[in-house]
Amino acid sequence: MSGTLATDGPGPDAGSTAALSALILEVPGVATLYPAASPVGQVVAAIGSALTLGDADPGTVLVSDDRIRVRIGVDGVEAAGEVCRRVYVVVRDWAASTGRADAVIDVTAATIGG
Amino acid sequence: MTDPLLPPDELIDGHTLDELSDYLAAGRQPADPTIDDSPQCRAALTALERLGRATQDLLDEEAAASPADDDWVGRILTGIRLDVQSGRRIPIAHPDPAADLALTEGAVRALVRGVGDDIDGVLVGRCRLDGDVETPGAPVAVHVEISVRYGVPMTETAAAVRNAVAAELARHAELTIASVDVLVTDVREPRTGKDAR
Amino acid sequence: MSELWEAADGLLAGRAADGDTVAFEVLVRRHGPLMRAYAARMLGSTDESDDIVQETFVTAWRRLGELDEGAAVKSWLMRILSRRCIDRIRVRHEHDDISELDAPAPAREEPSRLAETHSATEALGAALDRLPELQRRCWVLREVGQYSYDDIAEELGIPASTVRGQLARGRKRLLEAMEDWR
Repeated sequence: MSGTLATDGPGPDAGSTAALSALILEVPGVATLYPAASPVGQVVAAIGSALTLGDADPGTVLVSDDRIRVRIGVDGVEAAGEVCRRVYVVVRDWAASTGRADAVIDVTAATIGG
Repeated sequence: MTDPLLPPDELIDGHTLDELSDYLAAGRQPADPTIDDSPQCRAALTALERLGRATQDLLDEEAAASPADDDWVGRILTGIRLDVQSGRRIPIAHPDPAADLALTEGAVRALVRGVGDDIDGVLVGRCRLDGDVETPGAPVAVHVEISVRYGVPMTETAAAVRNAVAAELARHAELTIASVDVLVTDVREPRTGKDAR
Repeated sequence: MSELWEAADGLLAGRAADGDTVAFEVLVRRHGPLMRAYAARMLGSTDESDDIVQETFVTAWRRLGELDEGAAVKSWLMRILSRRCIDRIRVRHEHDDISELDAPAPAREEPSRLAETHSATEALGAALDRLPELQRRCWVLREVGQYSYDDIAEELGIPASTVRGQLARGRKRLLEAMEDWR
């Protein structure tokens, strides 16, 4: 299922979750993007309303109107906290551009370095 | 106590093989002179011991003859990757209340393993974060277990691990580290020089 | 990380419990082969032994947190494996009639040794394969799994006196085979 498309993004797919995934991977210090959803689906239940999975990589980023969940691996060169904050900025901007200005941005670093 | 279908056992100087087997399993205690002083019983005990060892030897030989192949191991590792233990969420501060940023406990443990392993002769074992890591500011005591290679100076090495762990945690995690203690749990044999694999 | 191959079971179990898949791989390679040989004897063939050991490791990974004494990981793995083997056997509806259990086992589907036995170990292997299934399972659980008589009884769902009888018979045959070889 595709994400909600933005009406004023730079390109036709800019509002898709695949685009968001790509943006996250470009953040300096981000080494990997992990599936944000747990296989059991507990996370899905917890998020609640209108859940949208990433298009190109199902389950990479979890997006609903209330919450955006991202799970990353950082490369360890800079402080993990710093990388998380950068990712937050990118996701916050994307959320605002796709009509989710009030969503909670949930970024977890699950691995640091190799 | 014995199976009623079993034909009566031959007796070895008044003892059944079953009794002798129990005696062996009990470490020949309490000592029974009617067994210990009987050459036939002793011979039987020796045969039983040999049989017990032979079974383990048999399986060890078969195991050595067919080591695990990479495909089989690969399937196991693929099966477990989805269950990576992440543990508790360790928050990262942010002024925006709608920001929920965190490191996983699993990430922090891996960090500790990484810096500890980098120190010559050290292999990190278990790592515990003792305290309420999910609450910013709550004091956390870090406990690290390590193995050191024989010959490496133990006290200096433990101190090096402690310092490296404290520094790395300060860099990546926003924890209030109350203490880092390092426990040497074993000493490894020196490397032989050839590839251990 | 070549140093990990030299690490003791306890250290590896601790790292694996903390999420280190490389440490877990070392445990798989170290204990997997013995576990496969054991499973093959419990199940009577090698068909399912690979799979059942695989499943055992996947279960073990999830439950590593339950292991108090890391150094005991090998016997802990053997316990999980034994239970899986027994469950698999139960699924086959065997042991319905205990009097049928004295029938000799069918020949192993994949003989893993030469027809000529060149050593005492091989003679034992051949004799073990010829044992009726229940005798062989009791024997392997006791000698390799290190189970007590009561534990064997509980796991297999048979009376302890039956376990004792089966072990007595198995022991007698195996001793005879070993003596014959000499």
